[in-house]
Amino acid sequence: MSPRFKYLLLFFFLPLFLYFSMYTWNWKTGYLDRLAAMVGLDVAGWVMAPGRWLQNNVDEFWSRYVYLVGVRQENEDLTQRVREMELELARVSEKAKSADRLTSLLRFSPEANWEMRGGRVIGQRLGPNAILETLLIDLGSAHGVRANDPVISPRGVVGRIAKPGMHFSSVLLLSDSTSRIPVITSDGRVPAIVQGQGPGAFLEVKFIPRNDPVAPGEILISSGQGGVFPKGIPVARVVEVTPADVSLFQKVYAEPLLALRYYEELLVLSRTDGYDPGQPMASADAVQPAANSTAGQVAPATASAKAAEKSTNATAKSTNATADTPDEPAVNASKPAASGAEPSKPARHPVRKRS
Amino acid sequence: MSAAPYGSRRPGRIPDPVWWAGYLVLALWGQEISGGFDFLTPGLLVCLQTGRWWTVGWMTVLWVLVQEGIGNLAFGVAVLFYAGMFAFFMLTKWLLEPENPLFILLFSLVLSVWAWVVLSGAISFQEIGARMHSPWPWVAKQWLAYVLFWGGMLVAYRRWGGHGRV
Repeated sequence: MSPRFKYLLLFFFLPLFLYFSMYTWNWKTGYLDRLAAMVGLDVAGWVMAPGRWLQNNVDEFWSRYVYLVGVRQENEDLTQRVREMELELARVSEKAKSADRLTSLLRFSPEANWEMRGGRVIGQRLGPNAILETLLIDLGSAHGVRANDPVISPRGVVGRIAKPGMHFSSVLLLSDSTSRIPVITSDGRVPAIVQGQGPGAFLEVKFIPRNDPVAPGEILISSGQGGVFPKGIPVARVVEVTPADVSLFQKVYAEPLLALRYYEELLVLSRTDGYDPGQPMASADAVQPAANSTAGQVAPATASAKAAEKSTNATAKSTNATADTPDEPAVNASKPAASGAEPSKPARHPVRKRS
Repeated sequence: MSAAPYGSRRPGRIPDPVWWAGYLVLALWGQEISGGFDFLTPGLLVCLQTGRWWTVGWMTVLWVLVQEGIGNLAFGVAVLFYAGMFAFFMLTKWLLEPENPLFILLFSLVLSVWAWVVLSGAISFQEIGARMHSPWPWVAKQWLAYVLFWGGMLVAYRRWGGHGRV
């Protein structure tokens, strides 16, 4: 063996071999991912929390005691709004009471119990190149937060927990291109999948058949399928509907109901019944999203495709199988084209930007 | 200019633990404000230039865990990036003196291109449906961030830092 070859072996192939061994081992076990999430998120959280606290207080001081332009007008508007809301509340509570009665009459199974925790946004664009649309919040596994827990605001869905650390977690936003949420339209009750398309772009609403009714202005609410989001949370508003020419589905775009990056406090929902949407259930693994060994980690499309294939096969036996984890495509038995569930790839059509 | 020996006492200098803790805060806020550009690496480069190998060791481990932890890709991207950075640093040291400003300019450019290659490669390899920025504007911005932060940090560290073993 020539000395040159020895050096090549020693300084290039050996490190390369060691690197890929580490990578593969971690891909299978997820140990290093969990260690990095515990350390990295906590270090970043503790480092950024005081600065964010200071910034919030300065902002609050400025807006409360210094910048008072328009406060009187706003006060009058809000008073008027409160009166309107009181009337609306009275009307809706009557409806809610009747809904409770009807539900018990129809013997619907009770909604899964959800626990709600308030969290504060600590960071917004962290990580190498901020590849995915994420936020850093000050709730972690020490507070009971788990991967895939829904994150909402009073106005609607914000995203889900992508990576829980010990005291801080990373939230994958609804607008990220790897995010998919099963929804139904509020008026027509048409099931669909909402997929993000990146910052500043409209959300794409997929798999709405060409003859199903959907109109601009309609609110999309979470359908609860897949088990990640509870049913009935507002997700987005339809802004554009283009009838299909040759496709089986309409081209529909929507916008989030809130400015996702301008929220300082968010709510994290956690199940209290112990059900983990990231893990298959022994009896119902055919209709639940497949297991993800690196929960919260964005899995490759190959894994998604396998999971989707598994779910799709299951639809032959079961009624409806949808996945609303960011790494697993949704499959709806009632939609023929959805059976070829799409992997986590960027949309091929031009991204529609919000004005 | 040679590195200060470990443990030496220089009055008026900031102790290294305080210095690097402050640097971490500054770098993470820089990353937050700039939308994900890397500000942690210049600290490592300053330690490489000044020959603080012990600091290079623990800082690499911590920076890798922080970058991988707050990032969204599978573990390994930061490891590959820093491994390449060390290799490039050793190779470039043969050609130019690390103290030379030209070295900082050229090495920052190489590092920015390397960062883009590693990130876009990882996105493609892990088949994540995220769009990578177009290369040259991104590389130019990262280059600017490296040059300014590295140069500024080197000057500041020589003037106020470098006190004691870490």
